Amino acid sequence: MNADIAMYTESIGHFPSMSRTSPVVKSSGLTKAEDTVLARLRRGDEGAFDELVNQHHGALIRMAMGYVADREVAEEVVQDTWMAVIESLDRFEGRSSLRTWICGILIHKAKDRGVPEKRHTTFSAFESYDDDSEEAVDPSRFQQTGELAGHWAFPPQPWDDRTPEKLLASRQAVNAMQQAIEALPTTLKEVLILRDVEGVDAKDVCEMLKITETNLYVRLHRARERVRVAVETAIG
Amino acid sequence: MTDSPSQWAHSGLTCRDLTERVSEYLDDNISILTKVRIGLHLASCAHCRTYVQQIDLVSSVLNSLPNLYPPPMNRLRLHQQFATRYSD
Repeated sequence: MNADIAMYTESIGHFPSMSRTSPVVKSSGLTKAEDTVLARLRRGDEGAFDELVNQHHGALIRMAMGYVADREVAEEVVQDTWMAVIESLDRFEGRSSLRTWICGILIHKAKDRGVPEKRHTTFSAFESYDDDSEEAVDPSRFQQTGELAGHWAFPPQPWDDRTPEKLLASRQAVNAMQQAIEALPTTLKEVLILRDVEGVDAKDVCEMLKITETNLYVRLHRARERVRVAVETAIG
Repeated sequence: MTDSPSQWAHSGLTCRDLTERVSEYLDDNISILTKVRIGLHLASCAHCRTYVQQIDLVSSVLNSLPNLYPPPMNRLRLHQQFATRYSD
């Protein structure tokens, strides 16, 4: 299974000129910082492993929650993911970024675990979102007829706290964002977390989820809009 | 910037059209023509400027949400496994 994971996830960001057999080759899949972290991990530096866990655990839990029934199961899936990371680190060739590789393992584990877990929960918690033709913004917020059809009827009101720091300092806004992310259907949640929370490149997200760039942006924008509306409702 | 509904027509985009392309626009993953049209629209529409700012803001703070950490026992097991695997 671990070998499968290494092969599966490293297909992301593949560069044909790179050797598949030399894990120490510096590739363009890794940032300089990740290269340093990887070297520390391979030397058995527990501090580096702790930093890696602290940096990514939250995003992995939030993403796993899109596939499984509850937080407890999500913790198990993420624990399995970290175990697989430990087992496969020396086979990781660096053809994708470290975070892309870890997220790929998580998706693999969560999908394996998610199917049976879903049977124990309600359908609404796992709303599927295959209809990419639906608009992100509620159509009733726009003029429906007349010369100004398609223009705002109920426009967004400017937020007083416009800086990221001020928004993050608002408990109401942060709670609203967290709840909105939790409520997203899996297909929207996974793109939002990979792209905005983990900062995975758009092309890598498409490869991991086997979707087109068009699908990616439709889903990403729909997810961002749901979070924006949650903040708008909370602080508006 | 001056808002002028009569200028919106020059962009060939309604607000409704624009809102669907905002994430691609912010990622700069959009054709130059569409980028110019969005720029023209934004120059004359304060509501869409607000909308784009809010989506940009939400997107930029998501990686700073309060972190979550593994339960202590899980972390301990990970450390033990890591130490066993990479000792020597």
